[in-house]
Amino acid sequence: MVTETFVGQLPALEMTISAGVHLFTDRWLEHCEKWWDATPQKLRFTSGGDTPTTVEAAYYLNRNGRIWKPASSPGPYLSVTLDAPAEIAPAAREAQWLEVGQALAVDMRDRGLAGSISLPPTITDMRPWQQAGFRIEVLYTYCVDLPYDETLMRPQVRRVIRKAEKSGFTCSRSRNMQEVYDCLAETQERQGFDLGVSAEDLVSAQRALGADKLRGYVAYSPEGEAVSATLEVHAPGRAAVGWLAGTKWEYLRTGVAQLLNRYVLEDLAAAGATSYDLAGANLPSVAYSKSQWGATVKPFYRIEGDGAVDVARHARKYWRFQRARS
Amino acid sequence: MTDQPSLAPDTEPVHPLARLREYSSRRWDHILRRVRFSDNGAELPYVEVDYFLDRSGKIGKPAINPGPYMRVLFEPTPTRSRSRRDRQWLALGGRLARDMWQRGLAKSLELPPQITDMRPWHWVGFRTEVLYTYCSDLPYDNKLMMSQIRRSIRKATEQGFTCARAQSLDEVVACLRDTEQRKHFDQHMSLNDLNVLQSALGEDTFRAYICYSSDGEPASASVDLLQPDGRAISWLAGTASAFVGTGAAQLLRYYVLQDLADASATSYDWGGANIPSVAAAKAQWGGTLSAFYRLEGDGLIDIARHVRRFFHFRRAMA
Repeated sequence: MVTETFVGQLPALEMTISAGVHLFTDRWLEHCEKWWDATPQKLRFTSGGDTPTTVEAAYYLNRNGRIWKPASSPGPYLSVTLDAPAEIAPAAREAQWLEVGQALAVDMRDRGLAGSISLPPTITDMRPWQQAGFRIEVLYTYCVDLPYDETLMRPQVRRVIRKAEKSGFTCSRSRNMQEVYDCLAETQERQGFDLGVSAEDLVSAQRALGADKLRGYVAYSPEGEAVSATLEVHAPGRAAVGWLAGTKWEYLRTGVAQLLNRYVLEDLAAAGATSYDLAGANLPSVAYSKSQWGATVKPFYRIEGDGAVDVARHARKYWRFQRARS
Repeated sequence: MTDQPSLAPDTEPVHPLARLREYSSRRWDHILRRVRFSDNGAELPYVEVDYFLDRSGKIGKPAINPGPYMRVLFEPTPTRSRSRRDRQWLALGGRLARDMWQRGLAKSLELPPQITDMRPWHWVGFRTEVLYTYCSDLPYDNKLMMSQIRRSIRKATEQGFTCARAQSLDEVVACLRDTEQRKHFDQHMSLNDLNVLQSALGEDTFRAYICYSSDGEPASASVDLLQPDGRAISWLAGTASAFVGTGAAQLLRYYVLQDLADASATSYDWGGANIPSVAAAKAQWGGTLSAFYRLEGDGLIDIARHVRRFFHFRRAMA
């Protein structure tokens, strides 16, 4: 028997977002409504059994009540956290998972998706969603245990870090979202994509989540200019997740981005993160650069949107695929 | 790096490629071709694949494919660096994916569970689907078994059922047929097919098993494949209608696991966990759920399937 508990809307209760980070501020609700016109809602499903399995999902619902992941919400995943008892037999554990997983998948189907939704790498069994009729796509990310084992790093990375140190670059946490944004914006322009985030978004998000959970990091040139920045989502005792990163053009070859990344790994480990998700490895150039840290490739799964637009995307992809071959 | 794949010599002792190749073209009208991708002929790293090519040269899958997966093997250099192994895979997997893209797929193809990183295929434009199977380490750990299985095995033993490697494939086919009829599907597997595959693959690889009742009647049968790398795969199984619910199928499975472990198999793939009722039965053995991936064919038929799924889904929501 599955019991469905509506844990309710914020701010009354704790909410989980991407990466399973716990957030429970009034401000987060305000932020969601103000920036995305979205209502966050948390659901929990509990299986039967003496030691039950629970699964919790934190949705963002759009005006039509469909589940949504705003592009500018922190981290790449919709939050789904699974709590399964370790002490029961694998087959019983799996049966409990299927019970709650199916309840969640059917709930998602009934509400509908406003676009595709990625689940965190901890959710590995997508059969409940397949059986509910969703199409699933596999994507990849790199994850590394913390504290970071520096022997995993490729010698090239070590060399450029040493070079950046010798040149006098320094790193620190930063609450100044404008200087963070300036670094991100240059990368955005250079690579011709839209982060979908403004400096004001970042200020509001950090105020809502708190600077310990949404952590900004900046590397400075010897002259004190902010030249490289990252934003990370963190909660002690859990996996931290990379969200956004950028480096100003003229500092690309200085090794400062790698220096900053190592600083981030050290700082997150000191703050109690158990592992770090480098967030995405699905573009060849990005994958090659992230693979240099010696992290493990992990699959995560994207539930494809159910709209006609998704069918159209599939058709378009087909034509491109055929044309490229001919 | 050479872009021309080299054909590997057909000298692998337990996988007599030549006989299978001959049978493949005669019976299935597919040419079996083994292709190896490496850097300028270096011994390691390499990626090796067995294609079944149809008449138009596209990569297909005969109706009677020996085993559920297309054979893909990746051997990295003996390195402890994850980053280096990752790059070797992305480079050689990328060449395999481009080669497959140029040839085209006649059908969707399933890759074995040890191929976990599908990015090389994504990057040339293939779509993939995730599927699941269970895998158990061998020798099998009895503690993983649920009590229902234990009870069934005890019951069958008490009633005098016994198991052995099959001497006659006639009896195996009879059991397979009964299950096909009961469950309304057809594996298109004739006695002749099984005989030829047994002789082509060799009895070390192609392993047929049978469970007899106390009267010596064939009650349940199984055909399993033991690959040279020590991975065993469940391929075909069936139980005679008169012996459903006797525990014969469970006793036979337990025998198969023991026999494969004795033959130095290191793992057992239960051959799929994607139909809820079948998955629930297999889950009772406590195997680890493992993902494997299907490359979607690039034909119009696949678009049609996607559109159909869309309408089914809408109807289910309404």
